[in-house]
Amino acid sequence: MNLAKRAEMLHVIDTLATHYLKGKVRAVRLSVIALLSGGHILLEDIPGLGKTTLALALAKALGLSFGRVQCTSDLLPTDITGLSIFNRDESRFTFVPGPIFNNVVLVDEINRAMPKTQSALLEAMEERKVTVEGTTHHLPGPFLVIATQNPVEQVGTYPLPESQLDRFMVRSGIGYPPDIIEKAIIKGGSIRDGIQSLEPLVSANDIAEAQRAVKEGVYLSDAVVDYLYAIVAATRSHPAISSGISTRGAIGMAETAKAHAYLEGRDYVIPEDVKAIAAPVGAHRLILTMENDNLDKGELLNAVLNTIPVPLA
Amino acid sequence: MVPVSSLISVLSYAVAVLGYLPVAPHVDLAVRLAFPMALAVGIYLDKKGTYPFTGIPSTAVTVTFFIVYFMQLSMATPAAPVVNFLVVLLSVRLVNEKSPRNLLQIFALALFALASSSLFSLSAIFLVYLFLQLGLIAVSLVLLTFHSMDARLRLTRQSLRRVVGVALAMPVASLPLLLIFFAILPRTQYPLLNFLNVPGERATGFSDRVEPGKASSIGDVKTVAFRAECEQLGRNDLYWRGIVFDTISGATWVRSGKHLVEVSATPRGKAIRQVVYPEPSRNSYLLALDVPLRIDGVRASQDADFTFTRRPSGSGRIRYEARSVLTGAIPVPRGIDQSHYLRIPGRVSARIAALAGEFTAGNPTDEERLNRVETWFRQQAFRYATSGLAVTADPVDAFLFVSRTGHCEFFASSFATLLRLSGIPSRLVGGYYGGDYNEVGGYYAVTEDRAHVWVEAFVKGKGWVRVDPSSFASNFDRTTASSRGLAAKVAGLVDSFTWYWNQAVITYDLQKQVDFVRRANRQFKGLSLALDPHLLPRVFALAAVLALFAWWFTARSGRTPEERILRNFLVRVEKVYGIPRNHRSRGLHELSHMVDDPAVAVFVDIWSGAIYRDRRLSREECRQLKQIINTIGDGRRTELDKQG
Repeated sequence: MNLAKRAEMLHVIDTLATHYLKGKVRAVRLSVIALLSGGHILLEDIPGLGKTTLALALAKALGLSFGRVQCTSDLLPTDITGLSIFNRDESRFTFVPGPIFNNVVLVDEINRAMPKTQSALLEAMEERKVTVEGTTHHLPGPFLVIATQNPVEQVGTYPLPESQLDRFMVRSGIGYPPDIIEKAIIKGGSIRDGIQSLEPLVSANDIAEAQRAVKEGVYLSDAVVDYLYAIVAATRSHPAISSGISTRGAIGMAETAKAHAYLEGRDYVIPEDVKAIAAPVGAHRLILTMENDNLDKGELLNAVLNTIPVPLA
Repeated sequence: MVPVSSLISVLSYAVAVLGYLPVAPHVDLAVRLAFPMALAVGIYLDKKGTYPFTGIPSTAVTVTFFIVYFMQLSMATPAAPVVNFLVVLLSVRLVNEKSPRNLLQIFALALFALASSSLFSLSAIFLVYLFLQLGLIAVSLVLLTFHSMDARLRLTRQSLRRVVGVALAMPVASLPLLLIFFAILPRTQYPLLNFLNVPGERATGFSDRVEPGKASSIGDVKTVAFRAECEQLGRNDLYWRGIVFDTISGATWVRSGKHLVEVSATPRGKAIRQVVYPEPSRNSYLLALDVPLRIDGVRASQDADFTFTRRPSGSGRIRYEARSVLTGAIPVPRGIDQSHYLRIPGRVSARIAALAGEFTAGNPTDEERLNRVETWFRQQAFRYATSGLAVTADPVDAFLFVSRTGHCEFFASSFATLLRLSGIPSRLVGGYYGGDYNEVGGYYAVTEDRAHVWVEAFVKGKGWVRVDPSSFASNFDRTTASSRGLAAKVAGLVDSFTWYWNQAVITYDLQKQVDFVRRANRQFKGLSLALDPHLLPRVFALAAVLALFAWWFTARSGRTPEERILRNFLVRVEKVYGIPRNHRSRGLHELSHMVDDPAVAVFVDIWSGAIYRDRRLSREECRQLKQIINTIGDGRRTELDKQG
């Protein structure tokens, strides 16, 4: 099997989940899946559950440069992308890159930024390049944006419109850790300092190679494509859903399913891979009808999954 | 060290052979040859460990033969097709895998085959086969319990000896019980279970005395008095003779019990053989068609007036065989004790005496006198009735001159009194008249309300001549007409069931069994076991159509080998782990996580490695998967063992 660098990737997940991000194995795994499939991740949870820690630890462990943007309502697009500043010595404008010019970018509380800023950010995420004053600057690869938002606090926020949400490959919560682990965390205190001293476990080259392995080495069979399409089609015709999973969403599901299969040690995708990533990758792309707006999108998607026969042969 | 599995295989061969040997001479040639071949193939396949005939081939053969033999099934040949089919089934089981389920089927089929051999011939060797088979099956079953816990178990010679010893102890210990319950208890002369069968005190039409004028009405009891298996007869022949009353005491006729010295010649007429099944009752007179010559099958004593009494008088359910001659007269060449049969009650009313005087006027012959009495009786147009009767001390006088209404006792006692007064020796005969012929069972059911009394008059030269004065009644036809209609038919059917039950279960004895076996033998000897040549092409055509249909069905359902394997896998998992297989939104890996069985995990890996790479399973993989399916659940069993 041609699953290059799989061991290294698993090592990253193991190390982070067992030593630094206890009880967040799922979020860590999803982050790595998003990274491997070339997407971005939106962590949606209340403050204080370790969203930032997760992003930091991940950046450290992957040996990547890390940038952070704390969103506020007066944050300007140039605060993210960077801007040209007049250099008095050289008598010309020079471009000062913003925090987005990093491999791992943590965009904290993305819904606090005003739509204009959000839009600039999301465009950068999608295009992987930034155009400032007529000059296009390519972003470094690998490129992973970890955005967080607080779903509870609504005052003074600009909720991401569905069209923007669609650009995140994965949306996930973190959730409280299991009580035993949480007690251990309380006893041990904050681990931010520990993370600072975390040595990179892999190189950027390793990640690029792993991404290539996922893209080219994992086989997606017709049967699984059919299955995936059946899911997407079912969300589009579901009575409680006004707008189902887009084609971009379907592509994202296929990519992440491949990454999931890669992490599981398979060079082919099985329907269970699709099932595993369906909710984090697909749910936030659903737009519910007005009367069903209070439904949990993840549970709704799981309910849809349970109606679709798995291709066994 | 002996592996249990091979030991069980050998035992199953032996059991199957023991089932086959006794029926082998009685089955079709093809089937006779098929069994040894199946046995040889089965042994070979067991050695190889592959079973190519499992599934559709086996089922197709079974169904085909079932149809072939089902078509041969008829009342005339009830056993041969069944036995043939049993042997076919046994052969099919032998070529298939010796799974515990199949083994149990082999044991059962072999037992059935052996049992069915007793339909053809019942020699003492049957018992040898039976004991051998029971012993082997007991040992096999015990070994099977070991085998089901651990398929690879091996026993040392010593422990094997103990296991066999314990296993054999079971049939040996149960043998005496078996003998008591099935051989001894039902065959004792005085059935030990008879207390279950005590007759209740019940109203009966038949009694050992004739007392007209004692009650104003008599009951109309429809309960069956007895059933008699014989051919259907005319109504005038249906006089069931039970008891003879020869003495008048006041107004009551009784049986004197005096030992008569008259010697009867054998009456001439149509001989009739009956098998009589009386319902349990307290009287000990044995009934049979008039005139009964001998009664067999029960200990009985016979009197000169053809009255049969059961000795000792029991009340259990019995059956006996009677031989009768249908005739209206019993010749007594040497004559009778005239004075005994002419004795009349001391008190006879004047008008009766006067009437008798009319009959004897002119000193006519016996025949003439009898004729006169009959004619007079007929002219009077007495009415037959069972209620509104005179209660009187002189019922004869009251009947003849006052009420002119009565039942058979009035008719008979009056008639006999008149005869005696006219100088003709006469006596009363008690029994039953008529009966409902049950065409299903081929027997007469005679109910208590058919109890009857008639007269026998002694005419010189003819002997005792039967006269039924009740038949002179003006309304006699109506009173004896048997009921027709649906209700009667249903009643008849119900009655025939009772009769079969009594005949086949309650009064079943060794004699009957031997008879049955002989009859079955006779039937089977006359029967050529080869197929009817006209039937043969049709059967083959049917089999071909069936095979075609089966092929079409499997082809249409599009079952590729892969789909079959998958289905077998899901069925197996369902069987072992109870996970329903029709849960369509569940993937195989999820299933594998649910059961935590390495065999399942390996299967799923191989399977999805092919299917989800869009390639077909290789031949080698198919073979491997089939093997894996068979090992599903093994891990669980050993785990259970560890816990246990």
